[in-house]
Amino acid sequence: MRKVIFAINVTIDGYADHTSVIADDELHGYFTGLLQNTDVEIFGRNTYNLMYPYWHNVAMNQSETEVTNEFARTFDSIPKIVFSTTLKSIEWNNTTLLRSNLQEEIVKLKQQPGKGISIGSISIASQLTQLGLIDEYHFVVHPIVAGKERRLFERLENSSQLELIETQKLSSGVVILQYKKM
Amino acid sequence: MRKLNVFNFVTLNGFFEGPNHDISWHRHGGEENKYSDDSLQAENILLFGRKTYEMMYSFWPTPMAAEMFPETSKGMNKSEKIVFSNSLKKAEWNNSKVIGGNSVEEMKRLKKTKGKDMVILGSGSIVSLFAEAGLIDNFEIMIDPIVIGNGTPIFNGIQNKLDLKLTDTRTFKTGVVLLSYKPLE
Repeated sequence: MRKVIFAINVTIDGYADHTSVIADDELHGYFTGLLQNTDVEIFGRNTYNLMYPYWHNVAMNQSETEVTNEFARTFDSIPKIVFSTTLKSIEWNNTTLLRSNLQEEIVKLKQQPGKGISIGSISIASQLTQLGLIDEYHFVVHPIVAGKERRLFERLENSSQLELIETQKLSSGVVILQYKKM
Repeated sequence: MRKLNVFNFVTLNGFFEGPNHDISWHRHGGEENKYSDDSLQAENILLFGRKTYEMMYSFWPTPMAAEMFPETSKGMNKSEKIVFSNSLKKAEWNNSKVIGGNSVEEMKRLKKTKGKDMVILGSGSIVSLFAEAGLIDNFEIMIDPIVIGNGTPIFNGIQNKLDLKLTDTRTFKTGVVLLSYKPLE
């Protein structure tokens, strides 16, 4: 069965804010490796609107460092599913728009053969955590206290115990904590 | 100048306590307790806000605490303690005193005096206050392998982002990870 993996940049105080993280080559290299072990990425409208204009552009123009360009190419080419009730259409290549039935879709995907399923959106990750459908969590902890922004797993109804499987330190002081569902 | 350090447990999504001060999610094993006991051996001054003080005071002097955590309770009861509060008049716990008034000014003054290093346990509000004022020298954050949906975030209410430098990491058998930081110069 395929693994569902949620990897997220987070501050020490538990905020998931892409603007206050150290986005260096080492970090992008880590995420490239992660995407190479998955063959579908799932997110919602907000993440789509945030990711598509930027990363598609980098993938096309190869305007960043080699490591970041490689991340952009990997991200751009991987099949993606966007869950949204409001988006009219999708422009990104390799991307499917779905309106509903997140749970059913994920359960169906898990049963198909293939590599991992990557979750790229906080709200979807919360829903899937609630449903017990995420197998692996990668918390990429940045050496930052943000004080505000969007909290990870806010309003989760039940607490969720995890099991630590690996830790990794990047030279920027980022610590990657990997867990699996208990 | 003496140092002001923070030692706290948080969930993976940054809560140091759940609703109603719930900390039943702490997964402390022998190794974490030994770490806490060793820290207490250093005889730092323990600092609290009123709420954490009251919670600690209701537990550590009891016979139950002595039975469950003999070393820790001995250390907690013996250590010098300071409570930052404007509502608490007197701290009854052994070797404790209350500091009222402007906590940030009092801390600046305290740090300039000679003496032992200080460590804040729990106490979200004074952690935020002193962190924002740039008064904290070391942050020791124990990350429990759990996410909860609700509670009080560590560094709650901080207005400005703090950039830190990772100084150490340690993994405990229970899956608790200790991340140590100091302010980025």
